Amino acid sequence: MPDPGISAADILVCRVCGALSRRPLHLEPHDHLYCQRCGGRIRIGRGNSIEVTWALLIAAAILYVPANLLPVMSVYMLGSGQPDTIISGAWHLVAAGQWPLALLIFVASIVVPLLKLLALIFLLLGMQHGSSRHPRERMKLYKMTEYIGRWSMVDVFVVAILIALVQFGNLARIEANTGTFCFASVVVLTMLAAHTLDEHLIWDTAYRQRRDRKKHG
Amino acid sequence: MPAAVNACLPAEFVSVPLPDCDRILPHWAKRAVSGGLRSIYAGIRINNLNDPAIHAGLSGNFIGIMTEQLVACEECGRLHHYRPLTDGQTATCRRCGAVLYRQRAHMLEMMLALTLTGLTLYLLTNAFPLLGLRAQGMQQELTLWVACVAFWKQEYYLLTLLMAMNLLIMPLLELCSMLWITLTIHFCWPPALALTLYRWIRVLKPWAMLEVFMLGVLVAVVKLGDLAFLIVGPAFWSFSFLIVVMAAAASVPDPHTVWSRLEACRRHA
Repeated sequence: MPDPGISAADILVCRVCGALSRRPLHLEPHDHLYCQRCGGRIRIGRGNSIEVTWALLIAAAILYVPANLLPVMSVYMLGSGQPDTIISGAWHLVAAGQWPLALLIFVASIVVPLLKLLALIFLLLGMQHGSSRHPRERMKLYKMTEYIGRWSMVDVFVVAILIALVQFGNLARIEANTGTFCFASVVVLTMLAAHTLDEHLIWDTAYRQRRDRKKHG
Repeated sequence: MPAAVNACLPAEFVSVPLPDCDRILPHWAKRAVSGGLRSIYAGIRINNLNDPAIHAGLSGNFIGIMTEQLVACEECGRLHHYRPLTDGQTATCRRCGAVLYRQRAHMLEMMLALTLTGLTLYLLTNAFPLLGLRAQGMQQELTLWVACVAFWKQEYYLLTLLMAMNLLIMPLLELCSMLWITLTIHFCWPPALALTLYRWIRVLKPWAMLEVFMLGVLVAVVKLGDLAFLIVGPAFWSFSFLIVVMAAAASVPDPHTVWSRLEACRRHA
């Protein structure tokens, strides 16, 4: 016979495969649960997703500064070379009349990481304050952040392609600089932050508040 | 045991069109979709968790899987009753509208065809150069491998690792895993490896960045176009097709179906 005391809070969902498990009756503070089907770690309650996401976001925000100020690559033509940051590289493209390309680089490398940082901070604050407003829209924002983030890597790939292709000794040569490394770190850290952020919390708080209102009103 | 599943459904089961279709698709497309891809809401919020049918999956085990009766929304975590669908139908979450599961005709055949095509294209892409650059009698060729090790020569070793993971390891892992999973489901092999592989490729999906690299190639082509003579290599075309095939291969399998069929293989074995 099933015991009568089971509620929705006793059911744990595996975030990877969606298998449902029953919360064990006794759980020590540092116990880990693993999904019986796929073997993935099961998140219990809030966990520390908010704290870890904050840490990753702060690290990404700090690295965003050198990523934009330090040169990403240097172009050497006939022995003389000049280092380029992301912005000056985009500016050269505008000067050469290739403004659609400059716009693409500008959006993918400067606007998208910044918007991503702001969006994740907005979502985190909403979760911490138990906001119940527009959960559908906030979920859409999260899905968009998760999807768009990887496209920022395009700048790193362009640098890789250029330094691989343009190696003609003294005639023309392109080298990578530290800015690329910082920039790639920003992309990786924000991608990790989007992964550690527990999107179910958007709905948990929204649902909890509506239930509370119903109870009181 | 679909009969038992139906028995635990509440009588007032609602069947309405998927709201997403209404909002996203234009009118002409909606009419086309409403024929073949009719969608239903998957269920009712569970009020009676003491239902014996639900507990059948819970009994005895420390962690029991009850996926045969209940489905949790991947995006918002809300629980729904599982209800079998017919081919072409999609079940969506009542709260957030995300897809819970769908029934797709010929899913395994499509997966097999796409992964085999993908593996062939992957081999072709790695065997031939993507781009060539000619200047002053000298020629440089760009293959996927050369692009990955470009940072190694500049002593950015972590970036090399990241690029190799994005461009070489993850796509290959994804294709091989999908092939292994398809074969496991079809022949009902013991699914331990297939379950682990599917978990890994679900988690690591965002780190395969072939399409982003393609955008990078296009940007580089436009950038270099004025300066030097560019040659488009044979791998450029196989790479374009590989991206299309990988996108299709990622969208064809329905996660819920794959997980539950792998689970069924374990019970069978």
